[in-house]
Amino acid sequence: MPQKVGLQLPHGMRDLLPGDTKLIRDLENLFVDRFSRWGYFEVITPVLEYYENLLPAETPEDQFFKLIDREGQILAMRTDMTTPIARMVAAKIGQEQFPLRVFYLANVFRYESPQRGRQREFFQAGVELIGDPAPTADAEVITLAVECLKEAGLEGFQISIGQVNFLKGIIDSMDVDSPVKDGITQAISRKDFVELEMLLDKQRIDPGLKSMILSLPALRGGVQVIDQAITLTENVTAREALENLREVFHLLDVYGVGKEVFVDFGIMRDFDYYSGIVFEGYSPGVGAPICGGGRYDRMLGKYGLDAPATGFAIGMERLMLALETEHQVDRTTVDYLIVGSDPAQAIKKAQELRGQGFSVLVAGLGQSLPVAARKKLEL
Amino acid sequence: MEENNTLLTIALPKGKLGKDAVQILNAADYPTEGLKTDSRKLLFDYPDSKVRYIVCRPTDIPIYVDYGAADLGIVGKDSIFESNKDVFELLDLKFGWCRFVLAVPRTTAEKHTDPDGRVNLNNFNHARVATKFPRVAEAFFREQGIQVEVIKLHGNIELAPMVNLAEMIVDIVSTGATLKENDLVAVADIFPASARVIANRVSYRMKYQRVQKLIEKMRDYVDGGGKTCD
Repeated sequence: MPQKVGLQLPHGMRDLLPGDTKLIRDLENLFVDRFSRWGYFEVITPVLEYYENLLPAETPEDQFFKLIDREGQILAMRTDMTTPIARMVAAKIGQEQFPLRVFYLANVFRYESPQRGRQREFFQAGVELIGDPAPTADAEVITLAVECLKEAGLEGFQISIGQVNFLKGIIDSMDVDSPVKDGITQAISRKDFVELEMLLDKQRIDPGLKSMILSLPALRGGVQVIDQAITLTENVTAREALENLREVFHLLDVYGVGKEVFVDFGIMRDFDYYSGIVFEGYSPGVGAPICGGGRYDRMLGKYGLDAPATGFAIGMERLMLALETEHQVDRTTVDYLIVGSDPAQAIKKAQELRGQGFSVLVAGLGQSLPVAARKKLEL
Repeated sequence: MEENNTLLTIALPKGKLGKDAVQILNAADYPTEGLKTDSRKLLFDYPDSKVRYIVCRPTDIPIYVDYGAADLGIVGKDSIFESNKDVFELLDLKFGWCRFVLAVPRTTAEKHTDPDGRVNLNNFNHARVATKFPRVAEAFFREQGIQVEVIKLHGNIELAPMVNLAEMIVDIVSTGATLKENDLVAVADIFPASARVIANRVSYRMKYQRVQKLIEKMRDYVDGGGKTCD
């Protein structure tokens, strides 16, 4: 064993050993194939950017890894990929190429307290569809997310979908000050129903409206939930949000993924950042969402190019955890191990099999290799 | 997914809060036969009802729930706030009432009492505060715009001012008897706390129907007066 003292990694950073790396790369390859079939092209942006250009990510300030360059500029590591891509699109691509379909496989960094499924460096795979405001765009990215999770071999997952403007419309129409509205919004997005009820009581909200708001998170299920919700409000914004949700849901049915998707008005994600449809994917055994996304029509405007956009990201580590919870994942096994006393013969056979697309290892007689093989050939 | 076939794991606190929790589970038609939160047994399985209970320290319950080791937990708001874990707070069970207070020795309080009978907290700038709840204490003083040195202790906080480890304490009180015995007086209320039901954010969605049904039954019991505790 090598000496261990002095070889530690910073908190929240990890090495990916061959087994983990193979799993992550295999998944990425599946996703690249899937994204390409839908006409998305890969982009790469730098890990480091000017801090101020990353602010639209709305990551809490203390979660950025920051450094100062020799000219005194503040640089930061990206905390997501949507923000750098929005910057890149505004600066380098422009609306002539809309609707633009791009995907990425990238590591991002957040200074959070590390725990299972949450490191300070983590890997994401995702897509952005920029310049298309239609429900067909939302349905496309949600379907793509579902296909990716299925393709990865994940079985017991579900996608919850909501529309932030539904609640926003209802809360905006309330006759209270804006800090109270923020408090209500936060309580709902944190799912702190106790706080929510206390806030509504304190403001002497009309009992009908109060019980309606309290019942919203319980409104959950298939498309019929949208019909239920529409009877609850006269607010124009809220009703438009529901119509939008209905259209997206209908398209998801057409795509054949309606079974995996549930309406959930409690899904808020980040209220300021998202502007329409939002969704999250869950798997039993992983205590946090494995993927998430939605419509963010205000983001590109912050870079001077107003454009509607929608997309999602899959958390690769969380997906790996979910897959491992469901079944044993085969990691470092090769297809063939060839053992022979005549090296020339063994090499010839190995090359023949490699040519056919198999992974092959050659061992001398009596030599043992620390890798499992599906088939052993003794020549 | 047939969610009713999946196991629901509920974390219960040891001690007095645990007994009230068992009572409310019983009222919600959940199995409680042989369930004790003060025995050595930490796991209770009821396979017929697809329920498992785990019994742990109250402060650990938000951690079990955050990681998904338990789907639901019953625990005091004090432990939830202090843990700062990302869990959903579904229901106020309205038992196990207590409140967070800032307390100082009686002599100190008398010295700093304004003519209108209130203790001005500005007298405590840069003072030391002993507490089991550093997050609560830090949040409170930040809100007041007062800088203090927070000293985290694990128990018997009331000892700290007596031996000059700290000028004040932040602690939870239910009756106030402990403060009185140690010649301490509460000079500010921070917030009240009671028992809550918390949920893991994924379990809340994956096991939604079972969770919601249980919550509604508990809510009926609580709203119907249930049992009120001191």
